[in-house]
Amino acid sequence: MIRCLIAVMAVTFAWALPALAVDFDHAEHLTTIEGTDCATCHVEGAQSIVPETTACLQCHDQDFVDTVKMPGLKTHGPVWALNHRPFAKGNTYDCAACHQQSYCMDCHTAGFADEMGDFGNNMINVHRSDFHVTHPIAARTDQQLCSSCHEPNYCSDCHNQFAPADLALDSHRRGWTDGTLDGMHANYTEEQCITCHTSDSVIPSTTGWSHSHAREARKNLATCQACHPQGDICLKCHSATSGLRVNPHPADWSDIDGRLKRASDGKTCRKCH
Amino acid sequence: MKIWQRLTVCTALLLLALGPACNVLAASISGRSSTEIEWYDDAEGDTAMPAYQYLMLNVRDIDGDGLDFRGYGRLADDFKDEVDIESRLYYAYFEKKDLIEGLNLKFGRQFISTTAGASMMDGLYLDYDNLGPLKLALFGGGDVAYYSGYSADDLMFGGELSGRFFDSLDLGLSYVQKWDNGDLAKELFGLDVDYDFRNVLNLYSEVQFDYLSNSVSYFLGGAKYRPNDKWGLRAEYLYSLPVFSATSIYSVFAVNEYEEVMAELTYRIAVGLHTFARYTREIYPEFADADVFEAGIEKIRTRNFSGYLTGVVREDGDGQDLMGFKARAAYLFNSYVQAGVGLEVDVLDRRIDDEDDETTSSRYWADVTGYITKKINVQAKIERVESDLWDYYNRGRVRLNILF
Repeated sequence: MIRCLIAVMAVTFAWALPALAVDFDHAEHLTTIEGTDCATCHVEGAQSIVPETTACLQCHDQDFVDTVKMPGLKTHGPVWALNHRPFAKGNTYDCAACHQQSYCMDCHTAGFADEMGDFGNNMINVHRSDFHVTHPIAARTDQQLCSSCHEPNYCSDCHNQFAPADLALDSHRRGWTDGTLDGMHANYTEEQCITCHTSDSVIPSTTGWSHSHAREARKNLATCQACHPQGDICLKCHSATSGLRVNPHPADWSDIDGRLKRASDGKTCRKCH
Repeated sequence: MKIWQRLTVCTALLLLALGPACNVLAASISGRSSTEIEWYDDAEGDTAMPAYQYLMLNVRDIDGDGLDFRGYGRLADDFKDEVDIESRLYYAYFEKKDLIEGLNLKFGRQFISTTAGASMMDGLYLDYDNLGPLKLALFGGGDVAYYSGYSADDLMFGGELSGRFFDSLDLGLSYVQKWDNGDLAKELFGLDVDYDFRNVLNLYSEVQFDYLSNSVSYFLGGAKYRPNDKWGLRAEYLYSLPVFSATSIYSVFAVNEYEEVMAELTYRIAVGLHTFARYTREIYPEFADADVFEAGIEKIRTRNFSGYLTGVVREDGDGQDLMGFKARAAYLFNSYVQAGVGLEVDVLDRRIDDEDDETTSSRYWADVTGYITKKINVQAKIERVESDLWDYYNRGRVRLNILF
């Protein structure tokens, strides 16, 4: 079978010599060896994506191989790791022609991105040198990028171990304490609590917590969910029946509440109402 | 018997059992087995030593009529019982092409990816490509995207209608519905468009519409100009809005969109030698925008040397600037040994107690791959991560890969 295939390829390639002598045409090769495994040229376990010359010599002689120019791939450029999404999701390119699903799963799983990938790391990836330090930047940009690999509670694996004051969130730094009268509250007595905490809330009326936490939440609500997965702490103020009864809904809420209510059969609504 | 011995024995038995069975069935087997041991210090400073046994298995033509099986998973455990390392089944499905003319089938755990949504799904995927220029795919089953909370009521259904028109216009319309413990959690529509003009100009776009919140949750529009094999210019606009499950209280909260404008230039100096420069403007409605500049050069190994050098500068009006670079060099000494070293350094401005703090982080590593045969190789890597924020931790890995 292999000999027949090689013979067919040799005849076909010989016929196509004039075209090939200019530039290697991958699409043309795929046409002539249609149905054949990619590993015919890109042998499994190869040390480079460029096939070894021996693969070419199955059908061509050395003199011809020496004249062939190998153009760069149209798709896989140096920043492919960052811009492949629309092509992987769309139908223009058939990723499965060359890659198995394992190729996707090597990166698109929660965990260290190189756990089964290249030991040399990628030239471009989302995770920089010590992602423990730099990840807030990535987490505040395209949140759908994070969720393509990580489930929401992945964040809480680490964040649960931090006190709010250790997080780089303005709102938490300004308004949150551990409930004792130490630190910034050391000069106050319990009788004075009501002076600032006017509404039986932990939130003092004298700080900008209310405004700043709202901005942060709208910027990246997934960050809030990482530490408060059920949102119970939000409901202390944002409930319709208790607390400060602050409305958390977006401005166009009346346009969308019906669909959300029907989807959860009203269960989500009943958490507050 | 220790866990690694059990893993090895199980894998060997599996391979031994499948070998004769598939010979009888005239099927062919290929895949990869990777046995890996890793060690590192966790956040508490305790040393974890997880071991993994990965297996990627392809069994082709099981029934002599084109029925294939594809599987990929791992067994995992931590020798030190310090971290919770999970065994995983990434995918395991049977695939049959041309069940009837034009109808292809995949059954089992598989990765589904559409513009409307993606999932790791336990279920059935059918696609029919005998509708003229159109192709129809339908899929449904258990939604395993969230391993920790996966239950029988976590389902997903969907479909995709796609086609190619006028030789170079590709259109795809997709729909995904996800269920969380019996309640409808997400309902998303996706549209992707790709137009190629004479192999020089590529226009592409994808839109995701969140039906339950009645809003566009994702939009990407881009153009790629590639006048010849050397030059490439790309420009993109991105709009993104997070999508929360309708069963979560977070679905009723107001959120802001995120926008991004990007331009990128690539140039191929020679075969396997590429450079790029990239500019991104991150746009936030209530915070200062950020400018991100990146540039780099990469040598893909075509002979002995491979490596890259890339840098990034991020300027943020709110005080989260980032400067960093990343470099790697590897050399294939002969057909048996490749060794490499790498270094990453980042300096991040963080706002601590109303003052800016420059936190320097670095990661450097050395790795070596020994090719025992063309089918068997051993890889080892040791890295050290340092940070101003704490001190450092070391991390090491050894992996035996067997291709079969």
